Amino acid sequence: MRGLNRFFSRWQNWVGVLLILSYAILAIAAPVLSPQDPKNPGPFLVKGRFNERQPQPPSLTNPLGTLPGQVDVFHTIVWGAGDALTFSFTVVFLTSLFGVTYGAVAGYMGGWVNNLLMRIADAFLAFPIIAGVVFFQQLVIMTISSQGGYYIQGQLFGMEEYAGEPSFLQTLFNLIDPLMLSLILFSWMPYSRMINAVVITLKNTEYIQAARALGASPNRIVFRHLIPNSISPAIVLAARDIGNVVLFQATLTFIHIGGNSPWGELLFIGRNWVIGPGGNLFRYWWVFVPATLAVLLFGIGWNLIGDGLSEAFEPSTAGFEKPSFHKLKQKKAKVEVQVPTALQAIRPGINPVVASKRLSISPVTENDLLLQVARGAIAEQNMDQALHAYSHLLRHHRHVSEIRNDLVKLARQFPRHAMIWALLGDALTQEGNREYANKAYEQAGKLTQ
Amino acid sequence: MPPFLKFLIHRFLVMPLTLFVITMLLYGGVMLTPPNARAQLYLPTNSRMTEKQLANLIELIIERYHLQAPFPVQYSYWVGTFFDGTWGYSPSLNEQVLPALLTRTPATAELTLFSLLFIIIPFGLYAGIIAGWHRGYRDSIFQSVAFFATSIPPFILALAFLVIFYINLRWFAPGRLGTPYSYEITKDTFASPTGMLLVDSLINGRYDIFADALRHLAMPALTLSLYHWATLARITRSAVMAQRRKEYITSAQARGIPSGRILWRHIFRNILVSSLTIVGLSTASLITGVYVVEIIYDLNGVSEIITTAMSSGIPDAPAILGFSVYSVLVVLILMFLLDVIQAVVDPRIRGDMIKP
Repeated sequence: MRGLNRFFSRWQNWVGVLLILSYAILAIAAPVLSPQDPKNPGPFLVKGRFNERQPQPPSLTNPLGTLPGQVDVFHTIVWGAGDALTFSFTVVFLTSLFGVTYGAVAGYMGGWVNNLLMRIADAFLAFPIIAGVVFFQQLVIMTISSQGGYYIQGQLFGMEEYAGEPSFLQTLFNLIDPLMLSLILFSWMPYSRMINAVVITLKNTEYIQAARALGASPNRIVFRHLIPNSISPAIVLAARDIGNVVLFQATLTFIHIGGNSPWGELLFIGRNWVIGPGGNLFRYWWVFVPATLAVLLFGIGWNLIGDGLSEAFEPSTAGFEKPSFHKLKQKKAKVEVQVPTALQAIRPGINPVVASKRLSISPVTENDLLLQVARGAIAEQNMDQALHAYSHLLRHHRHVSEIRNDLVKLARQFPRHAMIWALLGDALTQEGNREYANKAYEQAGKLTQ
Repeated sequence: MPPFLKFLIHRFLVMPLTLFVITMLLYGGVMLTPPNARAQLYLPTNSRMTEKQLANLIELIIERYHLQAPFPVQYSYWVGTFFDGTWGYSPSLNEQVLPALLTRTPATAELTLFSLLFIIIPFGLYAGIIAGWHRGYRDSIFQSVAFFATSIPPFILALAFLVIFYINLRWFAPGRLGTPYSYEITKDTFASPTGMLLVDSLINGRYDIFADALRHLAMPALTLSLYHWATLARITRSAVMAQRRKEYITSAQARGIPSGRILWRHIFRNILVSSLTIVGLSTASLITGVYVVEIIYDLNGVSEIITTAMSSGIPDAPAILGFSVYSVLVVLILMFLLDVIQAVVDPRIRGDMIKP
């Protein structure tokens, strides 16, 4: 929840979310905004005579003008949104699913298996995606043409004339976009590498060992513990990838290597009116500008969301370090009020260590909670409870420097409290500050005599 | 065993194995196409033959190129051509694959090396260091520029460049060389030891050709560089910010060392390694980007092989497989070179090289 709050406290993230929402609305409302021609469905709509080369400027009947061949720009922009969203979501979902599983399983297995699997991933990383696209494209076209069908701009024609049962491969290839297939095959490696590195460090932490000691199966450990705890960088990558996949699809469509992005196709059809002989961007702006904006804003929206997510997940590394007022206020409120009242609402005067165990708080957040409990107790002048919590934390080497800071302040406030000095000594010892630790212990000893 | 040798083995031993598996799968895929269709590729264009002659010819072709043979046989024939230095005969290119790749390499290498050495690495490092060290308004400007640089696909950038610099300003032009010069470089008097126009023209002392080649290389190089420049600069920036908090910087400042010297002597050497690693990791996407940019700007580099294979419509196994293997090797060699450079720059790396 804190991450979500942080996410929405940046205006850039709002822009990203709004951009993507507007694409989604465009995709949903497409049949209303620009109905398809029932005789010739698809993302392209010809308004007027097909052999008319001259692009027509925007008018009431075609809001964004037409391309050479009288292809309506507005229609394609609107219907392209849905295509882009479904394409990118499918690709990124399948890619990340495979990549994350591969990396996590390899990391969990460890040893030479991990080494070998990650080397294989490296080899895939070096493979040129363009060759894959061409290869699958030709395979698909060949299997379809050998049964009498043909492809035009990603649409399949002529199949109904074919008599007889198509083979399994042929039916399979009819469903597959070659670019999608090669993107899935050749872009899962970053996910694996990322997850793999995190899983290897997580594998030896206490809570995984505890899970193993409790008899959890490897399956459960990987899918219930390791992946959920290492997924956040992969989510950031996925958000950026959704945009990048569409940009790549449009690029390949534009150079006619494969892929059928309607937006890329728009730019391909109209490019001679911009850069060809007699072309003029300022005269025929509608040939270039709407499609460019559609592609660009899609990429920008997802990049903004990706940046925002990475900042929300790991605030220190993303570089937006200036704490906003909103954040500061929230922090203060949490320390002084929230947790102790929550605990004491359950049972007043409760021992916080026992309580946090009884509340079955997971071990990752337990210490954070305990620290807050301790600080809350100080605010309520319940010194014994606070020191108890601190000593528990120190015994587990958690938040040592923060505790040391708190104890220094406490020691200034209550210089005659022996227990504070003793704990301060413990904290300083753990920080490796022997000299001051000895002084603190001496002070504690003097006070108890 | 010396650690460097161990590192080499680690790097290069798994590679042939994976290449073997990938090419085997691809070849199997090619074989899904019926042999008759694949034989179409080898037919001469616009010849006048009767039905019977054509059928005979196709049979001959199938016989000659073993198109009917079972998978292991066909695949081992291909692997065989791989070792005799031809990499097979590609019907859609109408030449042997390896010579075809090698004659087209200089154009690609020129673009890649020029962008990498003169644009991506120097400007990426400089922008990242300045943004990470000074913060403030420089950093905000850098952040927004880098953000847009990573959001613009190459073909839209290319269209914009063409409109601005080619159509309107007439500064740069697509292609490799202007018409008068492209004839001159084929003459015997023009020695071309490397095939890279920028280098060759300097060797021959033809500065006019050098200027023209640069004029044609500028747009592709800028298009290719923008995305990678931004990624490298972002990584450098966060590396600089991490180094700034280190104690050795505080101590250097306490000793009264001027901040320019701290930045370029102390921090620069420490971040160089992590930044170069990023360049190494993104070589694969750089190479794909090179192909895309070549096709957009009509540079006739290595990507010509894949576009020719594409336009024939029928799977051309030697061309596609040769192209893939070539790209993988190029990426590996580039990554290896960057690793070596890193070891030269940073002595700490030499020990780490043996780690997987």
